[in-house]
Amino acid sequence: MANPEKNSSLYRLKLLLLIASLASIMFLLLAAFEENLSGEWRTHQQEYQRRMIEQADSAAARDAATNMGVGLKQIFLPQLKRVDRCITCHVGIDDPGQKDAPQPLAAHSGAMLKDHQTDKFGCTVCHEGQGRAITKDDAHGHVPHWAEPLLVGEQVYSSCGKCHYENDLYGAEYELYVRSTPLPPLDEAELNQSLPGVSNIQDHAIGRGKKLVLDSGCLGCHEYRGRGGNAGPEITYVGDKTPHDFDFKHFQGEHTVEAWMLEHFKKPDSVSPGTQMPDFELADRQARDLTAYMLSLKHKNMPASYTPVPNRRMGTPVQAPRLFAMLCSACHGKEGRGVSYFNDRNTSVPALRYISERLGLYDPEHAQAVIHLLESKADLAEVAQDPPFDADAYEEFLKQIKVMRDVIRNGRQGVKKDPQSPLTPLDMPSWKKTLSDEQIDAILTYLIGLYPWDEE
Amino acid sequence: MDSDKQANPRRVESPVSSRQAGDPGAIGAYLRNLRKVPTTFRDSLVRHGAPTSDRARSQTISNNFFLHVLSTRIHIQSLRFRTTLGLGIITLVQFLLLVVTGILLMVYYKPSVDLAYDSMKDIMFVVPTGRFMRNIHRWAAHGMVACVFLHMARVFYTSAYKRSREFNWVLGMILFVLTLGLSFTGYLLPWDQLAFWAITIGSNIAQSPRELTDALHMTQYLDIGGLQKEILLGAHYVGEEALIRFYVLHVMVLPLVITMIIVVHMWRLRKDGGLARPLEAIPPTPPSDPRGGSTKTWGLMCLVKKGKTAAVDKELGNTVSAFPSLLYALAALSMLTIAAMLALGYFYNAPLVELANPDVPENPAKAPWYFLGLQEMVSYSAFMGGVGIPAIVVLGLTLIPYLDREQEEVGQWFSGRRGRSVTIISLLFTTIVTIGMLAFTINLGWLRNWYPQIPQIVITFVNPGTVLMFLYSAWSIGMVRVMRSTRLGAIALFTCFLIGFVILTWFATVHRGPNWQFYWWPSMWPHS
Repeated sequence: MANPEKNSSLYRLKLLLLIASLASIMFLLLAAFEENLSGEWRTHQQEYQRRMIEQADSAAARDAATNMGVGLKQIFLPQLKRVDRCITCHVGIDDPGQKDAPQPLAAHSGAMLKDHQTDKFGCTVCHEGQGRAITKDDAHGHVPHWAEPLLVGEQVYSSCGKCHYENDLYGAEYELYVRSTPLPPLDEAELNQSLPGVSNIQDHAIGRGKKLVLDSGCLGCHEYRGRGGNAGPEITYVGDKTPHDFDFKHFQGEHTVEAWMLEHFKKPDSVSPGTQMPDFELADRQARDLTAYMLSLKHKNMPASYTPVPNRRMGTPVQAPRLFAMLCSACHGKEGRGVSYFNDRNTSVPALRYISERLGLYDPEHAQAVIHLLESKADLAEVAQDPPFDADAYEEFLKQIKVMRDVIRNGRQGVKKDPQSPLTPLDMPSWKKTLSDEQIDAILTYLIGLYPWDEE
Repeated sequence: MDSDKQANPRRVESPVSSRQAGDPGAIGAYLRNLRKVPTTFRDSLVRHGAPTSDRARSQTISNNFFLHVLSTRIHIQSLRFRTTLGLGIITLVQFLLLVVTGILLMVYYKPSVDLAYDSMKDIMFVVPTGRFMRNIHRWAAHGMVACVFLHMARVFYTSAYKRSREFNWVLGMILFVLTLGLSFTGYLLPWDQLAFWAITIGSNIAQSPRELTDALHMTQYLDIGGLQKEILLGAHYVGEEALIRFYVLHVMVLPLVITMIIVVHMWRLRKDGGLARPLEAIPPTPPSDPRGGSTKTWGLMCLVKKGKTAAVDKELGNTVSAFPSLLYALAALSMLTIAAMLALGYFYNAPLVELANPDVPENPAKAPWYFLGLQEMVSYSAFMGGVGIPAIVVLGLTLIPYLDREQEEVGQWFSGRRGRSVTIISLLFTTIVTIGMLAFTINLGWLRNWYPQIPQIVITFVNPGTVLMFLYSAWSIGMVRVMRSTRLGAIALFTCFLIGFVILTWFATVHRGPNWQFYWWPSMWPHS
C-alpha cells in the first residue's frame, strides 16, 4: 500500500531513529573514553613509570618498570572500615627512590612510614580527605558535602590523638586502668610528653600547645577528664567535634572547626559575643599551636591492634606550683600576680601571691611558721592552744584560712564590682572533686610562700 | 532389519536402516545441512518469511511473542505525534531504562546502613560506568514521574477515559501511585542526608493520622498513625530496618507489581480498540453495539487487506500495516528518550551529600520534588496535607470517568473551543487563587496566629490546603452548572489540580527555606 505521505513520514522516522541512535552511541563512547582513557591519575602513573624506567639500574629493573601496568590502586583496610585510593596518584609514596620526585609522585617525607606502613594504616587515617575518590579535588575533600578536608603540614599531627595517648593532657591511667574517687594523682611525666618519640615538648606544635594549656590555666574554666572548672565547655574530646557543634553566626571565614578555634583563641569575643573568656592577646604562633593541640584531643576508637598501650604511672607526682599553673593561673595570673583582662568585666579576681596579707601574716617569720605547720599537716585548731606567734594574729589566721579552704573547695559566686552593671561576674569554681584537702593545703602553702617580702 | 525388508518389499525404507556405514550420501546430507544452518535457523525463527506481503507484514507482528502486544494494523491518526505526544511510550522506555540501570546498580549497591553510602561512593568513583549508570537512573526516575503526570494530563485532555475506557484510567491511576512509591522507596537508598531526612518527613506524614486521633482523644485505643509509621519503617526510627524494607520494595515488589499492571494497562488498550484518536469522516460504529465501544473483533492471526466484509473496508482505509510504520515510530521515540537520558546522565551528576546523620537535621528538610506541594500542605495540617487531601485528590481523579459520562469523541484536545476556553479561564482562576492564598498566609498568618488557643481540629479542617481544595471544587461544580456539561466541569477541576500542583511545588521548592520560612530566593537563606 504505497502511500506517498506515509513514505515520507516513514523516512522522517527513520532519520530521527538514526540521529537518536548516533547521539546515544556518541554519549556511550564519550563515557567510555572518559573512564578508560582520560583521568589525571593515568598521567601521573605514566610519569612514574617513565621515571622508573629512567632510574632503572639493571635490565631486570628496566623490564619490571616497562611491564608496570597503569590502573586504579587502593589500600583496603577492613579493620578501619576504609578504602584509600590515594596511591592511584601518589604512586611513589613508599618508594624511597622518589624523595626528589615532583608531587604527586614524591615519597612520604620523614620517617613516619617506618612505623606506620601504608598497607596497614592507609593514608586517610592521618591525613583525612576522601579516600574513595580518584580525582584531586574530591580526594582532597575540597568539594561541598565532605566535612573532612585534607590535613597538611602541622595539621596532620592532630591525627596522632586518634591512637596515641601521649598528646592527651593527662589521665590515661584514669581512662584505661583505675577509675577511682578521688582521681588518681597526676604525673610529671605524662604532663611533659606530647607525641611518641618526641623528647622535647617545644619541638612540635602539639607539644607547644599542650605546654601552653598547662602553663596558662585553661583548666580553670574548661574541664579535661574530670579536672577543671565548668564556666566553659569540656575539652576532653574537642578534636572530635564537627562544624555542627559550633556557632558560626558571627564568624566570617570558612565553616571549619579549625578556623573557628583559631579565631576563638585570637579574639574570643568575635566568635562568641559576650563570652566570659578573656582576650589573652596570644601571638599568632601561639594561637595556631593551641588550635593544633585542641584538634588532637580525640577519642581513641581505633581497633586495639592500632592503639599502643601507654605505660602506667611513671614517676613524680605533680606538685603545687604546677597544679596552680594548670588550674588557677588563667584567672589569678601566673604565680598569682593577678590579671588585667577582667577590669572591664565587672569581676574582681584577687592576686593570690598576696594572700599572706589576707591571712594576717605581716611578718615573714609568721609566714614561715605557718608554712611549716601546713607542710607537717598539723591540726591547725589544736595548734591554737600553743600558737607559734601571738594568739590574736593566729586567731585571725585560723579564721581566714578556714574561709579560703572553703572557697577553694566549694567555690563562690562572683561578686559584682559595679552593682549597677548588667555584666555577670565570673564565679570561682568548686575544686573539691578535683583536689584533695592535702593538695589544697599544698597550693595554699605555695601561695603563702610567693609573697614578695623584698618588694616595697 | 533385513528380514523385515524381505517380508514387506513395499514398506518405505527408512533412510537410516537402508544405509550402510561409510555411505557418502549421509555425510553429504550432513555437510549440506551444516552449510545451510544460517538459513534453516532463520527460517525456524521467523516462520512467515520476509515481510514482503501484507500478510507477512501482519504476521511479523502477530506471530512474535514480544511484538504481538501491538496491533497488526495501526490507524494513521494513532501514528500522528499530536494525538498522544508519545508520552505513554516515553514513560515506558524510561521505566525500562530504570530497570536496566537499576539491575546494574544492584551489583554494587549494598543495602546496609554501614555499607550503603560507601557503596554509592564506590559506584560514583571506581565502578566501571558507575557514575554514568547512576546518573541515568536518577534522571530517568525524575523523568518517569514527570512523564506520568504529563501522560495523565494528555489522556485527560483528549477525553481518552471515555467510552468504555474507564477502567484503563483507573489502572493508570494505580500506575501513578506505584510510580511515586517506587521513586520514594528508591530515594532512601543512598543513605545520605537528603535521603534520610526526606524519608523522615515521609514517615512522619504516615504518622499524621495522629493529628486526628489526638484531637478526638482516641490515640490510646486506635493509633492508625503510629501503626502506619511502624509498618513503613519496621522501627520507631529511620534505620537499618527501614533501609532493607525500602530496598526490597524498590527492587523486587514494586517493580513486579508495576510490570504486571503495565501489562494489563496495555492489554486493556488493545481491548479498547487501540489508542484514543480523533474520528475522521467515516460513519461511527454500527448501532448493534449498545455500549458504543470498539467493534474491532480481530482476534485472527493475520489480516488480509483486500476483504469482502463491510467492516473490513471501512476502518481499513485509514490504517497502515504496523510493520514497519509503528515499529519505526516506536523505535525513533524510544531512541530519542534514551539519547536524552544518556545526555543528562553524562553531563549532570545525581546529588550525593554527607553521610546520613540522625543528630544533624537538614534545615530545611525537603521531600523529593514531586512531594513538595504535599509538604507545603503538610505545613498547614499534617493529617489533611499528608493523608486527607492526597487521598481525596487521588479518589477524585480516579472517579472522573464515572462522573463525566458525556458521550463525545475521544482524541480531541480540550474537547473543542468551549473546552479550550474553560481550560484557560481555569488556569487563570487557579493561578490567582493559589498565589493569593499563599500570599495571604505569608503576610497575615492563619487561625493560630489570630486565635492562639484554637483547638487543632479546627485547623485540621480549615487551613489553606482545604480552602484551596474547596475553592477548586466550587469552581468546577459551578462550571458544570454554568456550562451545563460534566466534561467541561471535569476540565475545570483537572486544570485546577494540575496548575495548583505546579504552583505549590514551585513555591515549596524555591520559596521555602530554613524552618519553612518564606524567602524570595535560596540565596537569601541565613547561613548558620
